[in-house]
Amino acid sequence: MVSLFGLAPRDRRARARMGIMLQSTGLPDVLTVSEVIDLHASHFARRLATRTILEECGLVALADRWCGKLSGGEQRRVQFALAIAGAPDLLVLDEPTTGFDAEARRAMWQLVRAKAEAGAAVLLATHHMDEAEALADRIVVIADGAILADGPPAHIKAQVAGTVLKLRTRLPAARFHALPAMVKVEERGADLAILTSDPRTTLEAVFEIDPALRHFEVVGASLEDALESLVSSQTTKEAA
Amino acid sequence: MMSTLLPPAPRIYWLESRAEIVKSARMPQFILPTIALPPAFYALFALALGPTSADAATHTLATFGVFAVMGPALFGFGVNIAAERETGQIELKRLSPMPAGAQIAAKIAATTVYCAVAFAILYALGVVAGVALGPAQWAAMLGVHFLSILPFSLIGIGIGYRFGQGAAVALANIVFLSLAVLGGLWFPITGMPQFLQSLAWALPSYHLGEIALMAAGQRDGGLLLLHAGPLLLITLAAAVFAWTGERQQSR
Repeated sequence: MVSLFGLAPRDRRARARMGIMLQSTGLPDVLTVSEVIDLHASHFARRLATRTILEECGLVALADRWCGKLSGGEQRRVQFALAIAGAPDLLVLDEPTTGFDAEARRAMWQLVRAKAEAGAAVLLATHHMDEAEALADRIVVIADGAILADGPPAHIKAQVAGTVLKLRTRLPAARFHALPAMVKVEERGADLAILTSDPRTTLEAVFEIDPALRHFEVVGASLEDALESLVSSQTTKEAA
Repeated sequence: MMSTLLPPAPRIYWLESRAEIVKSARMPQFILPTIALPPAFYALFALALGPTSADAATHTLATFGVFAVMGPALFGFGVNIAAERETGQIELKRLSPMPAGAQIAAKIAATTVYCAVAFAILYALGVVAGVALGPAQWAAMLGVHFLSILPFSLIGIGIGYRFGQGAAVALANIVFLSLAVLGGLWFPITGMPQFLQSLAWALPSYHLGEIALMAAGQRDGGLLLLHAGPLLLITLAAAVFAWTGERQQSR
């Protein structure tokens, strides 16, 4: 039995403590930004003032613009504004930065962090591992409906401790499919990415195969690498 | 607990209704044609097409008042809900702590306002065409016309929750035209083949038209129950159609 604040999740009193930003929501084209925010906030007794919401989300300059005239990124900011309008204890964000440029993403991350620091629990669904790494205290990895990993980002990274070698070689990728200490290998664009538990041993073997190799990089495995190998090992298990 | 988290409901009903009215007022290209069409047709039938009797003008006014409701109700609800559903606006409202009925109530309130505008134009044209009713008859007819909003809105809601925007437009058009013609709102069904006359008994437009005619003194009021009964059943069926549509999409 799922409960939210000790109530059934559909209970209006539970919903009154929750703010939601759905993955894709339209806004009424012909209402202004401040009208939409004010209307949504009116559903909550603990609502923030419209002016405060506009300021927090950087929407003051757009307050009187019709929602239909906003850019995609501006609409996402209005949707975030709706999610925080009721001063929620739980903020649910579904892919909040999809389609954003780097600057807009950082701005959104800052807004989310500010809400978390102010005491709201934030539940965030994302496909961007850097986003999870930047924002999350706890990550739950779900693939095909099963939980693959659950813990702080550092723990999940530690589960797949390792190093990634990135090579730009002229030899066929198949030549590198059996290296010592290799966990897995994959092609990333023009690069070959090799996840290894012992970079020195693997790298020596690589040079034996391709003595002419000039372009290579040795980096620590990112959260994304960790999660990818978790998901792919799960898929392999299922296939077996 | 209730009072600290949830604001008083009447205020939300009012704000949502106001927002619906504002939305339509800012998109007059959608709502104006549905409001203007019935008075324009009435002017054509009762005024422009030669001299007619006051009785004929009264008869047409009674049925056209019902016709005037159908556009805003079927298109306003059917197409509008389908569009807001497709863009996820309805889902967001459903997840907010807004009272469950506020959104539908707001749309009915807005529809009532547009219908009132249509009635005002229609009745003014009626007076020009020679309609002369007593105050009680005017009031009774107005009451029937306002009552028509309910069944047609329910049908519109059912369409809006079941069909995508494109299909909803097409279906609303078909329902709109067939209810108007087969329900005898444009011309009496007595000139139609027998099976079409029988079919009319299943249409809310027919019964509302007949009751409006009674209110205007054009029909024997003793037959009221004969039409009120079927109308009640049809309205209940429309309510089920609307309710199950709403439930179906909430899953």
